[in-house]
Amino acid sequence: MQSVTFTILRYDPAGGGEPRYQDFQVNITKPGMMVLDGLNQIRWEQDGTLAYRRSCREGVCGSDGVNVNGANMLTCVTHIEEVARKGRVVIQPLPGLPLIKDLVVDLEDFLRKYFTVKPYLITRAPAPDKERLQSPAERRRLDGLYECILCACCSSSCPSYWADPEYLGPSALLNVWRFIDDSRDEGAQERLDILDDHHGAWRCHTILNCVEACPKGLNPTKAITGIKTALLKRKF
Amino acid sequence: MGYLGPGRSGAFEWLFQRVSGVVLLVILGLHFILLHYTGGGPVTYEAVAPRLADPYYKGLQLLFLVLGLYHAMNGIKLVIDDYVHREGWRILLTSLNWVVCLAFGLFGAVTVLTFQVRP
Ligand code: SF4
Repeated sequence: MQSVTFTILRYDPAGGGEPRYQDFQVNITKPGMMVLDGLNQIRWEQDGTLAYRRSCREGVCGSDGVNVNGANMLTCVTHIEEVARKGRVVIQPLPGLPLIKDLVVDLEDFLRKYFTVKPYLITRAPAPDKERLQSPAERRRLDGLYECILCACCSSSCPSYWADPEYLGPSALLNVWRFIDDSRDEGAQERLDILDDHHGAWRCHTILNCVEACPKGLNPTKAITGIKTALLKRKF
Repeated sequence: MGYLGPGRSGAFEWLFQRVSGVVLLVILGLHFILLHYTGGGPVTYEAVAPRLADPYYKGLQLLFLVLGLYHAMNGIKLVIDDYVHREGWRILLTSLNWVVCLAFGLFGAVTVLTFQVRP
């Protein structure tokens, strides 16, 4: 039976002390094991104190974003053999976010930024009797935007997000563009007012880490370009 | 950590970085064509000096200087903003960026403006 070394960053707030790395051997018991299967094996069979988030185990809940061998990803949809280098995977919590315990980070601020941009439909016109209709073309504009699962892989991969604690970040910006670009929404102006700021859309320096990090294949940079274009059209 | 940019949104800086980039490319192309494909013969002092003394060409050079410095300085500032996380270092490097930029600007402007053909 083959085994892979999981090098995991451990941090125990109660025990005091600095974060440190700990090695575990994970046995590959079946083909196609995910990184999450490895973490589960460690927690269930070796060390019950290992803390990490997981829920749906199929890339929908967005709770198990971590940094594996230097790149942010979801452990539940990443094969161990895909990422293992010389029989080893190094797992760290998402960078740039406050550490709570082991692989668990504090998403409070990340989510506060999400709500700052008003990620919900804003309408002035009274509600119609039936649903608010969209043409198929209008609906298609939301593809690549509505799928976001708020896993924070993008924002926590962004150097601008690490450097500026007030920066809204790629995730919030992608989610606000999902509503600005929605034909049924009428809140574009009040949202653009929030985004036209040096901690808003202009803080994006097109580093493109977010595009690489997103496990859903979304493109936050493209969404931010949409916001910048809309802001420029409004201004100049 | 404090933000050391203009109190503005950054929209103008974003747009003008692109505009200056395009204009710089055009001037650079023009510069190469003028230098290497006009006038024939080898590039000697006698061939180049009269053009450098020409007031229109001086105008072009000054534009090149100002846009080049703006573009470079703005770019370096963005790098400092993203990758220098300690406030002290950020203040120091941002100030240095300004000083170097102004010094180069002054130096360049004096060089361009005072140039005369020496026989
Ligand atoms: S855009 Fe992608 S990486 Fe960012 S939070 Fe949404 S799903 Fe995660």
